[in-house]
Amino acid sequence: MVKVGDKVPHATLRAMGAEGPKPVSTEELFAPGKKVVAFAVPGAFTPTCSAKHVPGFVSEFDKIKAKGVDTVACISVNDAFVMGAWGKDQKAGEKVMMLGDGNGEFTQAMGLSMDGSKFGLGTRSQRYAMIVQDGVIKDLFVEKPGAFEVSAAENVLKHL
Amino acid sequence: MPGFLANIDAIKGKGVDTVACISVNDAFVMGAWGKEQKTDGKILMLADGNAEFTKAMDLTLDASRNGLGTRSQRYAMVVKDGKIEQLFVEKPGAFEASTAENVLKHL
Repeated sequence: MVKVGDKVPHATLRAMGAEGPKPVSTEELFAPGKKVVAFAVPGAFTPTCSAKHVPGFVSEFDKIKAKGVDTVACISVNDAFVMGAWGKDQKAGEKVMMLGDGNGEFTQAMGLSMDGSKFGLGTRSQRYAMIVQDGVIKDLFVEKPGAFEVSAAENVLKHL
Repeated sequence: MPGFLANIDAIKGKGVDTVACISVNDAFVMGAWGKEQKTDGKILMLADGNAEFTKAMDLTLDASRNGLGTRSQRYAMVVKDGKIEQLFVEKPGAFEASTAENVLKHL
């Protein structure tokens, strides 16, 4: 698993654009000079995420931005189509960038995969949040299995 | 999907008990998609989240180049008493043989 002080590993994520999915490299997302809050969830449209995680970041967005954050991104091992539909459903709008890690490459490189096959989810991401400055992980909040505390927008905000 | 929805009555009229849609997605995604497509219980939205079924069918598709991981090829089949009576596997990128209209012709 990556740790505080590490550079965010290289991978290509995908965002849903007007013309279809478009690649977003981690180098671009976590570029030098940028402060980014990224949080990862086990799956789009799943209960905890829908009920709490994404809405928390949507509602705290202005406060997070006010702390000098350039981008707030949500990452899940889902494809860009699903992430786009979920963003619409959650009214994440222009606030939270919805990024698909459809191949699980980024999640594997982070060392934060989770075996969700018992629930028919295949390999997914653990739930976590991180604060990244200049491509380097400044804070990393990984949830215990099933928990939803440290990666919540409210907790991340306290560390900005 | 809209094709099967539009032809559901004609398909049912041929003595079909169930129309099911299967995808390598999870049940949450399939449920949300069914709502969005207004399947309204007419089409059973089934998730093969671990791709177990798709692998056993030997119809997987490597879509990792497009950030989709391992998925299912596009196909349709007519199953009676658990036995595959008709199987319509599309060529990569095609959408002809597996359409509701074509399946209907073979019922």
